[in-house]
Amino acid sequence: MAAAAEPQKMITGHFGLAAGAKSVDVRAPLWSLMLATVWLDVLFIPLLLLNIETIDTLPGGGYGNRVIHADYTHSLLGALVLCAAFGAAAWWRWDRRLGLLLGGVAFSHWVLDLIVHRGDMPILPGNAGDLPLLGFGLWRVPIVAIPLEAALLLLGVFLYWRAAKSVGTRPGSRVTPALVTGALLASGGIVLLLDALGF
Amino acid sequence: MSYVLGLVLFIVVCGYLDTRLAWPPRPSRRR
Repeated sequence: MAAAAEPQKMITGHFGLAAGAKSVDVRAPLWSLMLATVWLDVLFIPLLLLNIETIDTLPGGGYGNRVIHADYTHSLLGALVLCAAFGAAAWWRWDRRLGLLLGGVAFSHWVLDLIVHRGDMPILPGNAGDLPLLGFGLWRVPIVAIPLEAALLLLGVFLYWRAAKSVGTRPGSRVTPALVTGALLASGGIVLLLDALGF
Repeated sequence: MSYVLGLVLFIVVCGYLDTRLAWPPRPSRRR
């Protein structure tokens, strides 16, 4: 098994969920929701580069064919603390409601990862206590995992579009709700296709 | 590649486009 050169993880589904979360409170800027949904991975990247957390690519490679040893950022307790910190920052910067929303979106990352990961997510940071590792392993069945990601994207983008068309375009702006919705769909389609092809 | 591309497209590109819509203002009392 070899270490991957860059993170190879579920991504389109996370972003789909974040787009849909805009409909919960439209004051939340989309960039903050998108950042929240990958917050754990953003922290994972420097630890990956420092070889503190690692990825093993399984023989054959490709979509979801990996075991991720993110024993700190993606442990249950670690994720709860890191997502609470993200939510607290948003609460401090904006208000309680946005803090709760963004903290919740951040933790949704762990929940979605739990569905697809192959039993590699510890409960305590550093797998302290050698407790059972978590992960339902849906990545073993790409024919289900990939459509699930696509469905999350479509549902999230639909919810975003419904919220966006209710507010419309800023005076003087040429950016329309349809344009942003199209950009979300195109981005998701491209990224999911590349991911499914193993790039 | 898909991962880094996803970060750029969703956070930077879509995030920027979203700011150009007429969303209600965010609370700013804690600036």
